[in-house]
Order: sequence, then C-alpha cells, then structure tokens
Amino acid sequence: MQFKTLLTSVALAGTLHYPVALIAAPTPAEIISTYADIAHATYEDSLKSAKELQLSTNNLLSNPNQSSLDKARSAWIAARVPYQQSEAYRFGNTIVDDWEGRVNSWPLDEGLIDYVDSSLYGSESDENTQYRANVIANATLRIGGAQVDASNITPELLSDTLHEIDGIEANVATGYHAIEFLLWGQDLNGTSPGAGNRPATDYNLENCTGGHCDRRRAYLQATTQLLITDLQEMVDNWKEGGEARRQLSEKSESHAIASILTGMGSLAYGELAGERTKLGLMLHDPEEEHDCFSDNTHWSHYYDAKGISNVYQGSYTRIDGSTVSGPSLSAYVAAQAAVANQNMLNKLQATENAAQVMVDHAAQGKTFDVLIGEGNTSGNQVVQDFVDALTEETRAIENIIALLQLDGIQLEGSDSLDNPAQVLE
Amino acid sequence: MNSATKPLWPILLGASLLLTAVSVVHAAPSEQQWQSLNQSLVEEHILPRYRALQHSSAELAASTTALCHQPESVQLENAQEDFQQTMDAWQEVQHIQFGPIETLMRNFSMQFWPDKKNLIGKQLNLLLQQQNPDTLNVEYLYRASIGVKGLPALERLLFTSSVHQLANNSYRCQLSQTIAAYIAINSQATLDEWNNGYSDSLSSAGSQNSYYDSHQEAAVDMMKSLIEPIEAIRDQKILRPLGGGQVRPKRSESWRSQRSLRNIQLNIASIRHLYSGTTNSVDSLLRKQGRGPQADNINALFNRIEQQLKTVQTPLVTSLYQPETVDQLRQISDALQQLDRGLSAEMLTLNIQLGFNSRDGD
Repeated sequence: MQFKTLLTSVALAGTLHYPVALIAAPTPAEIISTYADIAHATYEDSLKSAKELQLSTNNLLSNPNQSSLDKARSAWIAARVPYQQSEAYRFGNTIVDDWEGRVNSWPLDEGLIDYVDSSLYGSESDENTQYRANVIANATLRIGGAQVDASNITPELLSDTLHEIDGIEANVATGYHAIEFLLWGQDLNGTSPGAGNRPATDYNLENCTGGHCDRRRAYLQATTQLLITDLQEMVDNWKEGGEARRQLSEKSESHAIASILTGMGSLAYGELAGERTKLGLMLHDPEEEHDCFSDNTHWSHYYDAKGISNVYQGSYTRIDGSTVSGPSLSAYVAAQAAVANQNMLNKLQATENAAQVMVDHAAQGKTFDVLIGEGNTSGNQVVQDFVDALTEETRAIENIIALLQLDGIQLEGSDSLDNPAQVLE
Repeated sequence: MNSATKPLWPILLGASLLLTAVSVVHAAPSEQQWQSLNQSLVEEHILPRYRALQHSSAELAASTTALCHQPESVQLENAQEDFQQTMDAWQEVQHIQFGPIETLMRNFSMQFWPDKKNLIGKQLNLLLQQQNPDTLNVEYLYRASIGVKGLPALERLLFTSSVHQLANNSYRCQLSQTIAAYIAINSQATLDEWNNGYSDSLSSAGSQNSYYDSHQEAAVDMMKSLIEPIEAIRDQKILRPLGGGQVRPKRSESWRSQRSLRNIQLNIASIRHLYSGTTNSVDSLLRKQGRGPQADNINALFNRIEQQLKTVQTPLVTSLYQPETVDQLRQISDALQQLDRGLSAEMLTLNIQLGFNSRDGD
C-alpha cells in the first residue's frame, strides 16, 4: 500500500503552511490530536463491546441453548459497530496495520478451525494444505513432515501456532471472523437468503452435536480472550503517551496529515470498494462477503465507510451515544479550499446513502450475498452503486492530497519501498 | 480528475513562492506534449496489442471448436498452442487497465488472478459436476462469475484434460469452446471500442466529447499503466510464489501451461516499449525536461531486469525449488523495486499524480 511518489522539496515546503489569513482554521497539530483522540475512543469502545461479547459467550457455554446463542450473536454484531469504524486507522499507521491481521483477518479457510460442509466447501485447495485441518476435531496437525501438538486449545496455541500456519494468510485462527464462524457456522444458503445456522448444541457437553464440543468450547473461550487482549493493546497504543501517538508525533505535520488521508483513501478504494465489495460482485460467490457467516456485511461496510467520515470530520459518536470531537481535517481543508472540502463532504454523504441502501435491502432479507448473486441484476446494481460512491470519494481524497501538496510524501504503512520484508505475504 | 499542482490557495504566499520556484526547475510538459505522447502510445503501443489479442483469441476460438468436433491429440495440441499465443497477446497488454477493457469488468473476465481462495477450481468443478446445458452459451458467461469465463479457467480445461475427457462432444469440451468464444468476443469488443470512440476520446481530450478534461489527465492513465504493473508483477508474480521461507510454486501465474516466467518477460518487454518504444515517448519527454541521467538509469534497470530474466531456468513451477532460482528472482525483485522507485520519482518531474490504486490495502 502506498500513495506513489517520493519525498521531495515540494513536500517539505508544505510542512508548515498554516493558513494565516483565515480565522478559526485549525492547526495541523490540533487535527492530529483530534485524530488520535478519536482513535482512542473507537478502540476503547471496541474493547468494551468485546468484553460484552465475552460475557455473552461465557453465558452460552454455561447454558448452551438457542436463546444464549442468539444473545452471543447479537453481542458480536454490536461489537462490529465500533471496530469497523476504527479501520480508517489501519492504513497509514504501521502499528495498526501490523496488528490488524490478528483481529480482523479475512477471508479465511474456515475448515482449519472446525467441521465444514464438503459439497459446498470442497475438500482441498491449491494454496492451502491446512484447508480442512479442523483443529477442533484433531489434536494433532501435520504441517509438511512435522507434527503440531494441538491437544490443549489455548490462546497461545491459536495466536502463536495456528494463526497463519504454514505461512498461509487464509489460515485465520483468531479474531472477529473466527468467532463469527464459531457462533454461526457456515452459511449453506448460497446466494439465497439466510445466514449460518450452527446449533447451540455444538457447545453442549451432554448432548453434543458436531463432535468434540469440549474442544469447540475451549476454542471459543480462547479466541474471545485473545480478541480482548489484542484490543487492549491497541487502546494502550492510543492513550496519551502511547506508542501510536508517539509514532504519529515523530512524523512531520504534513506527513501526519498525509497518513490520515492515505488511511482514508486506501480503505475506501483498494480495500472496501475493491477487495471486499467489487470482487464479490464479480465472483458472485456467497463466501466473498466480509461477514459471510453472519450475513452482517451491510453493517460492516456501513461502519467502515462511517469511520472514514469520522476521521475527516473530526467527530465520533460513541456506543454510549456521547461524542468525541475536535478541530477537524475538514475545517483545515475548508480554510484553504472550500470547494474541495464541500465536494468531499458530498461524496462522504453519497457513500453513506449508498451503504444505507444496502442496509435497507438487508432488512428485507436481501443481504449482501443475495445482492451479489449471479443474474440478480438489480441487486448487483445496489452493490455497484456503493463501489461507485467509494470510487468517487477516493477521487475527492486524491484531489485534497494534490491541493495540500502532499503528493510528494512517501507514506509508510505496508509500503514495499520502505520494508521489502513486509511484502512477502 | 484534475491533478494540477500549481499554487492553489493564494493566501499561502510563502508556500506558493517556494512551489513556483520548484516548478521553474521542473517545467511540466505542455498539453501539446502530452497530446503527442498519448497519440504515439495509442497508435504504436495500445492498438497493435489489442489487434494481436483479437487475432489470436479468434484463432483460439476456432481451434477449440475444431477440438470438440475432432477430439484427437493433434487438435488438443493446436488448441493449446493457440492458448499460448492468446496468453502471449494478453500478457503484452495486461498492463493497460483503463478504457474499454474496464467496461463490463472485461479485464477481470479475461483473467481473474491471483486466485487466493481457489475459487476458480471450486466454481469450475461445480459447473463440470452439474453439466447444465444452459451454461453452454456466451450469454450465460456474461453474467457468470469471473472465475469461470477467462483464460485461467480455459487453461485448466485445456491443460489438465485428457483427450478422452474431451471426446463425444462432452460438456467439458463444450465449456472450453464456450469460454474461448467468450474470450474472443471480449477481445473483439475491446478493439472495436478503441477504434470506434475511445481513441478519439483520447485525442480530443479537453473537448466536450472526451472522457478527459485535458491531455495531461489522459496521460495519467498512461502513466498508471506504466508504473502500477511493476509493483504488481513484483508482488504477485515473483514474491508470492517465493513465499516467506518456503517456496509456493503453484502460486505462479499460468503454471499449468508452464509459462510463468515467459509472462514476466513479456510484461517487462511491453512496459519497456510503453516507456521508450514509440515515436514520442516518456523517455524522450524526460530527456526534454532535463532528466537525461534519470532516463539513462531507468533504461539501465530495464536492461538489467531483461538480462536477469534470461538466466532463470524454466518452468518456474519446478525450478523454484532450486536455491539458485530463488536467488535470481530475489535479485529481479530488487531491480523491479528500483525501477518502480525511479519511475515514480520522475512522475513528480512530469507533474503526474498517480493517486490510489486498486491494490492499496493489500
């Protein structure tokens, strides 16, 4: 990921361009401070809602029935609300991008974790030897010629051994989507309505379905605990004096603002519009949706887009309804180029509207996997409209980068130019 | 997209003065210069390549049809040979990711790759199991997944099927024939749209009838085609198969038809042609901007990469297991990175803002 081009005198010249003639235009330092405050609040909310999720999964394990399972699923969906809004911080902050794979890795070959339906999932993959390893059913795994002892399912086993095992990124053992699979199971409805339908008895020791309920329970506990540990780490990074703030402060002000805009553009275009939306539309494959087990993709996309808007407008509405806000990038751009700012605000609104249309369709049973179905012309168009809105939004971000003379800045993140070793996977 | 980087907010006097000073040093090319460059690239680089793709894919459609009529090894070999020709033509124009090839997702329909989740295998197997006759027409393929209608799907069918499996007008053979026909139609439509509209739109940039507000804006698409593929080649065609500590030969592009290295060679040769092979070229433009030493460096990197590629043993799907091949590919990867940097740096000289690309976020 990078915004192409190299550091130049042009960029350096732009380092300290405070708009002198206008009142109340925020300084870069103020914008960066707001940016970090919103990050902290968003990750804090993510952590808080993950702890709620843990309470409900513990309750599921104590009383494995449909009601406790439904409550755990609702808690997972609620936990996605703040987390997805944090994704605008991923690109542009190395400390987030390097960590993100532990909590939101996608797509996954879920056969690594638990039982799957052969007719739908298939039995093997060119890419992944652990495609059907099923660690819940198997206390020993074979990787190449070696054996891996998986007899005790612990957070350490998942994070240190199983996650991305054999160097394959689809071997996702931890994070939101692993938990999602454990709560819903595979969505066997193809591009017809309906999500995964794992029975609560998959967690029942007396009346176990799916086999190995003891190990499935241990897996759910371990991966939920890991999510909390990982989120706590990111909350700490964004505290006053935290590592993420320190890294941000080490950048020049224009570099920091370029990082903010890169995070917005890379998420909007390559990741959200491309990888998570357009690809599914072109493949018409029900597994090519971000929350494929729960069919919650519409909300995940909605809040992803909202996170970009939060960062630009310097305002985040917390899960308790209160607001964290401060001097914004929007005001900074407005002071220098009012038209570009208004254009950006319009595009953000257009994206939100397009996401809302997907949410409305989902409320009528036409979830993302239904909309992308082969031959569903009107559904395909709804998804295409979201892609188009994000593409236009990206053009508006590019325009701002050009206007602020930030296009000469080489951005880190996962930039292959800075760190070739990072590109290997 | 207007990416002019002239001083745009007069209140910033200090910054404006500095920027003006910089822009005197790198006087950006004129609209006239961009127009001439674009015209050369369309006539001498892009159109010949789409003509070649149209021609070879029509041959492939014919030989695949002949194969189903007469399923014998010589017909299968002919179809395979025509597949190789078509893939040659595609690899030479794969870097052009704007214009008619973008319409109706044609680029992804021609080739969905890399396929990290084995979706091509999964979706193709489903079709082969179901053998639904309704899927044996190009109208079906128009709305079908990109996984089952492009060159990678056809490669699987032509290079992993026995003559026996293709006999008796089997579903497998008819599906191959349908996919080949679809590829030919896509290639023809792309060429037709370049000839009947898109070329004119480029040459009339700035007018009401054009997709482009200026010749410079049109040149941004050309420059993206020059630079963005270099990183994609490095990441997807070289570093992914090299893996992290353990090689992954089957992540190579076109490994089933044993042409992974050839693809890279054709890509580089074609990108080099885009850089310096036409009457008006990026190379000559840079020299006019006083960037001769930088242009020399870029040419030297192209030379080095082409020489290095010649020394690699083929096919990659087996030679990747040799440490020597791994070393060579790492060197090529490093040189590609330098080439990417060198070209990216010159885009500032030329006042070109490349913007975000679809692989950001990977």
